[in-house]
Amino acid sequence: MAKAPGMAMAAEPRRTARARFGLTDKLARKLVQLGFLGLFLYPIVPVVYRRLTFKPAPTLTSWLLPWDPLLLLGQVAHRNWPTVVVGAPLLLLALTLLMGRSFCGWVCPLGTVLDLVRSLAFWQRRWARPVRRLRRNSWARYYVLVAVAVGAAVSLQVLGVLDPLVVFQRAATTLMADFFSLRQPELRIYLAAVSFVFVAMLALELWQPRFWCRNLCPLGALLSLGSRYSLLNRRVDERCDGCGECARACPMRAIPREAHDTDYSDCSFCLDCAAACPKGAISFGFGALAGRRWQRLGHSLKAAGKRVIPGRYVSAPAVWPSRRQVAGGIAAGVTGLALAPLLDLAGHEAVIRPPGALSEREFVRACIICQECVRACPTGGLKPTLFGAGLAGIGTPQLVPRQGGCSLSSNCPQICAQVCPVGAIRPVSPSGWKIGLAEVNHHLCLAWDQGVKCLVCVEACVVGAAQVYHGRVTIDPNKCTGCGRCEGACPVAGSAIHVKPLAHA
Amino acid sequence: MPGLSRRKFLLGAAGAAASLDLSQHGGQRAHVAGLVRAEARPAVVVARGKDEHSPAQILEAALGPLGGVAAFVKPGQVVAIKPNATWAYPPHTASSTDPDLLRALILMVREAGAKRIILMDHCTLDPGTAECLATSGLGPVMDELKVEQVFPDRYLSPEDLFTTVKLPKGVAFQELGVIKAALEADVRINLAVAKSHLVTKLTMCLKHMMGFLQYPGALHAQLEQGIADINTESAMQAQLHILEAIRVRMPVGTRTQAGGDETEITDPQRVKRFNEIVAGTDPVLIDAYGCVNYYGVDPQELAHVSLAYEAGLGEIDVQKASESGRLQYYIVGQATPTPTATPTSTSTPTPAASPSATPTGTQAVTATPTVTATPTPLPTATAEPPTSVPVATVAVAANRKGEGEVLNPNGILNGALIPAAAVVAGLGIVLRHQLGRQDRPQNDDDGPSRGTGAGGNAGDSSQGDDGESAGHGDGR
Repeated sequence: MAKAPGMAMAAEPRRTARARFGLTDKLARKLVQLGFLGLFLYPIVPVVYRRLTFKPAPTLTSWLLPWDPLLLLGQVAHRNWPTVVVGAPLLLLALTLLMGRSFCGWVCPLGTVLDLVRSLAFWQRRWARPVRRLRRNSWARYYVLVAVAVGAAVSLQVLGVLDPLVVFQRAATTLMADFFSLRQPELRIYLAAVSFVFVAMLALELWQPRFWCRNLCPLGALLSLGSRYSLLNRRVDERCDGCGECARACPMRAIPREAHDTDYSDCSFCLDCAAACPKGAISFGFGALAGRRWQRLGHSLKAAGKRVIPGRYVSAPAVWPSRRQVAGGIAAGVTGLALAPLLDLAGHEAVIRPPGALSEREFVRACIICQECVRACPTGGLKPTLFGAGLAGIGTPQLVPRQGGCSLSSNCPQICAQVCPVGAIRPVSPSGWKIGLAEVNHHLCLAWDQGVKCLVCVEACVVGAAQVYHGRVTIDPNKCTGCGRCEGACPVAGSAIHVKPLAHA
Repeated sequence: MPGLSRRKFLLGAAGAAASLDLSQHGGQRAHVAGLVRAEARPAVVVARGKDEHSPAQILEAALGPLGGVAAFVKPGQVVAIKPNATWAYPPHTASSTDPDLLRALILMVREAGAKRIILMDHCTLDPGTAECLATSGLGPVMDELKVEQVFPDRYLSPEDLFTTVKLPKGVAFQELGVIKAALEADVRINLAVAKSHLVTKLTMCLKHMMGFLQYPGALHAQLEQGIADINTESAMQAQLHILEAIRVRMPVGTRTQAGGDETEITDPQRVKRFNEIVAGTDPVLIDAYGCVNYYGVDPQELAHVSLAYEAGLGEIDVQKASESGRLQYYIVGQATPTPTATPTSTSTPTPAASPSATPTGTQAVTATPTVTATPTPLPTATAEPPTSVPVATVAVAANRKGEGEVLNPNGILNGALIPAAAVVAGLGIVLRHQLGRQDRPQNDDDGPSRGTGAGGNAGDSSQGDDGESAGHGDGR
C-alpha cells in the first residue's frame, strides 16, 4: 500500500544519487591529481625560497624521476648502475597488474596538466562526435616505446625528449625555478629550447583529449603492457541502453562501440564515464574481467519503456600483434638506434660543461635534459644550451659565467652531480677539476687598455689564477679551473675576461 | 680615581652580558649630555677599550660624546644600517662586522625609537649571502632581533629591489643604482670594518658605502673617484659613520711580482686587536685616523681618501682635527676626553690596552706630526693569528652545513620498494588466478541469465536495482 509509491519514489532519487556519486568521484580524482602535482613540484620550493630570501635551504632531488619505469629501462640499456633506482619503477609496473593505468589518470603530473588544459578547450565539448566516428587509438605509442628503449642503448637523449615525466620535470623547472632566478632576458629562448615537446603536447591536447597519452606516450605504452591484466575493472550493468555517452566522455577512448567493453590498455580509471552515464549503469570494482569481452545475446529488448541489451561477459582470445605491427616495431627500433648518431652528425662547438660531466660525446648521450642540475645550481650559472652544442645538445646544461660562476672550489658540494638522475655528472674532487680556461681580452680590460686599477677579477678568483703583473691581469693556466667567477664579476659590459671551453682553450 | 671606579662598574656590567646593558647605557648618556653642553660636539669620536670590554661598551663610549644614537635617530624614523656582510668568514677573522657590535647598535637604534630598522648589504662574492650571513654570525643576530633584512645576493636579485640615485656632485658617476630600501630610510648608518684592500689598499668608511650599490663591481672602472662620488651629498649619504676596529685584519707582505704595494693582500688569519671604535659624521677624518693609527699610512697616499678630501667631504689632517677638538679621543670608562688626545698620543696604542702593540704602531706615532712630508710605507705583517684554528676550514665547514645538504630519497625508493614491488606483482597474479577460478563457472552460467533475467523483470525497477547490486557482489 505504502510500498508502491515509496518504490516509485525510490527509483528516481537512487538514480540521481548515483549520478552525484559519479561527480564526487570525479572531484576526488581531481583532488588526488592536484595533490600529486603539488608533491612532484615541491622540490622546486626550497630553490625558489633560497633565491627569493637568500637564506640557506636544503636542495631536494626530484621526487618524480625515480619513479619512472621508462628511465629504468633506458638506464639498464645504458648501464648507469650507480644512479639507477630499481624499486620505485618496479612497484609502479607491478601496480599495473592491480590497477591498470590508474597512474595515467590519477598520478601522472603531465596528465594532470593536460586535464587542466583540456578544461579550457570548450570547443571539444561542443563538437563531441558521434561514437562511431571516434577513431580507435593507434599503436604508435608502442613503436615510440620500442624506439626509445632500443635507442637508449646508444643515447638516453631521445628518451629524455619523449618521456612524459622528464618532459614535465623539464617544463616545470624551466618555468618556475628559472623564472625566479630572474635577470634573464633570454628566458624565453630557454623556454623554447627545452620545452618544445611540452608545448606540442599542450597543442595536441587542445585538439583531442589526451591525444598524447593515447597515441604517443612511451610510458603509457609501457604501463599498457601490464594493464591488460588489470584487476581493477569497469563493469556496465543491465541498465545500459547503449546511448554512447560514456564513449564520448572517455578522454582515453578506452570504450569501443560496444559500451559494455573496455580496453584496459587504454583505460586510466578516471571515472568520467561513470559520471557521464545518464542511467548510472557504470561501476568499478576488482575482479577478473580484464580478459573478457561482452557478448550480445539476441536483439535488444524494450521493456517498461527501457531499452535493455541482453548479453554476457565471455573469455576473449589474447591479442597478439599482427605481422605488420611486428614489422613496425622493428622499424621503430632501427629508427631509435639511428636517431642518436644522426643528431650527433650536426657539428657543434664546445660549451662549458659542469665539473664532473662525462666527456662531451658521452655526456650528450647520457643527459636526459631533465634540467635538475639547472634547477639546483646554487649560483644559477648552469643554463640549458640552445644550439651551441649541436642538435643533440639542445637543452643540455652549460655554465654561463655571466649568470653565475661555479662555486665548487669554495663551498658547493657539487650539487649538480648529486641531483643528476642518470649519472651524466659524476662527483669529482673539489681541488682537482677543470672545466675551462679564462682568457683576458686586452682590448677591453680596464687594466690592460686604460691602466685602471680595477682588478675585480683578481678579487673574485678563489684559486689565485688571476694575478696582477705590473698592473695588468694575467691568468695562470695551471691554476685556473674555468669556474667563471672572474667573467661574472667583470665590470666591463659583456665582460673583458672570458672562459673558453677546454676543447677551445 | 674616578676612571677606575667607573671601569669597575663597567666590568661588573660586562660580566652579565654579551648584549647591551640598557640601564648602564642610559646612565652614561645622561652623563655625557651634560658634558656635551659644556663644549662643542666633536665630529668624530674615538673610543678605546680593552680586551675585556664588550663591543657594546666600546660603541657606547664612542657614540656618547656625539650625543648617542638619539642625536641621529628621532623617534618614528626609518633607519637603514649597513654592516659589512660580504665575506663568509667567522667573526674572529674581522672580515665582517662583529655580531655583538651589530646587536648593540640595533638595540640602541631601537631604544632611540626607530619605527623600522632595515639591515642591508650587497654581497657580490661567492659563496653568497646566505652562507655569509650564517658564517659571520650576523644572520642569527638579525633574525633574533627581528629586524628587516635586504641582502641582495651576487647580482642575482630582482631588479625591483633597486632604484637609482642622483649624485649631483659626482665627478665620475652622476647616477647609480642603489638598494631601494636605503633611500626609503630617513637615517643611514654606515657600520664599516677596517680592512686592507687589493685596489684601494685600505677600506674603511668611505669605501664601505659601496655596499649600498646595485652594481658594486661597476664602480671599479674608476674606483677611487667613484668612492669619493658616492660619499658626496646625495640621497644615499650616510648620517652616521661607525668604523669598527676592535679587531683589524692586517696586510701581509706585498706581492713582489705585482709591481709594488699596489696589490696589498690581506689574510683573514692575521688579525690584531685594537679595541677601538671610531664614530662620527666625517668619513674622511675617520678613514684618515684609521690610516694613521691602524696601518701607519699617510691618508694622502690613498687616492680615494684624498679625492674625497678634495671634494670637501671632510678633514684629512688628523693632527689638525684633534687639536681643534673635531676629533676626540676617549677611553672606555672615562667620560671626559683623555688628556692623551693629542696627535702623538692619539695614535699611540697604549701598552695597557694592547699588549701586542707592534713597532709599526709607534712608527706611525712618530710619523704623524710630519705626515705629509714623509709618507710611511705600508707595514709588513707582524701580528699573530688570533687562533690556531685554520680560518679556511672553519668557514668552509660552516658553509657546507648551509648549502651543501642535498636530500635524496632515492636510497629508500630503490632498496625498500623492490620487495614491495614483488609483493604487489605476486598479489596481482595470485588474485587474478583466484578470482578467475572463482567466478568463471558461475559467471558463464549465471551471467547471461542474470542479464536476461534482469531484462525480463525490468518492469519492476526495484528488482532491477537489486539485480544490479547483486551483480556487483558477483563481480567482486
